[in-house]
Amino acid sequence: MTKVRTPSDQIHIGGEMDVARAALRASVVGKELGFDAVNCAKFATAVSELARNILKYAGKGEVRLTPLDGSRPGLEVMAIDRGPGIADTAAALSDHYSSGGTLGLGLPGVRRLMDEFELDSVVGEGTRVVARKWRR
Amino acid sequence: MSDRPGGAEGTSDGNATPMQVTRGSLVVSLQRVLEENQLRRLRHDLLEQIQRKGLRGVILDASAVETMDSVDFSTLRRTLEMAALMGAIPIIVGLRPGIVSALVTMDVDIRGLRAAADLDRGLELLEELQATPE
Repeated sequence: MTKVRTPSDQIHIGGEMDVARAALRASVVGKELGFDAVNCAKFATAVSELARNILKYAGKGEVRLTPLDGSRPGLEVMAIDRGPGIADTAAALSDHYSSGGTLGLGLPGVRRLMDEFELDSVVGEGTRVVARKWRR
Repeated sequence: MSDRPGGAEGTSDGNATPMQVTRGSLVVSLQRVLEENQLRRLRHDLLEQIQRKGLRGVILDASAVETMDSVDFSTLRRTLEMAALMGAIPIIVGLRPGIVSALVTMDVDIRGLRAAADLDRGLELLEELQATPE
């Protein structure tokens, strides 16, 4: 039975400032949970990339940050939108689309920054990315 | 409009990135949080400063930056490329370990980018590069 976790932060993404805000919030939450500087930055960057994708492809959506309680503490980011969805999720996750910045979604990069990564997308309905990082 | 010493002419919105000429080079102090409008403004101000003052070097000081994603990096990188085309050698300094780890993990394009650990080393590097013909 999955335990329902309460997000500590739910950040609406609708403009540039929201991307920056989500990244900063992720950094703060990471520090609060005791992530070291490097892993905190990785988490924050992943959150920023996902927030940007929402903005770029869906126009708006939400980023939820949830602290996790496993054998070690962790952090989860869930990025949801009701945008066009990704037709070919396999292609989106392949390294042809991994170069940062202008090419594609940068999802392979996000996956490398995190420990766990799930992508769900339905064309015409939207996209949800869930990624988790565990503290060492 | 206010005119900060060595800096860009100000406007009332206050999203200008601080810039100052030090030892003949423009030192740009990136802020803690990067944001697209601010980076666009930075680019405009930086290029204008280079042209107006005939500057031969630009140092982007990233030591205060908390997070940077691949799009921020790409924007900054292009700004530095533009500076180079105007005859100002660009250097980035002070990138934090976390940011560097994240950017390299994301496989961003770092080819041709010159970096130094901090501002002092950056200024030294610029002086070396400006002294030696490439």
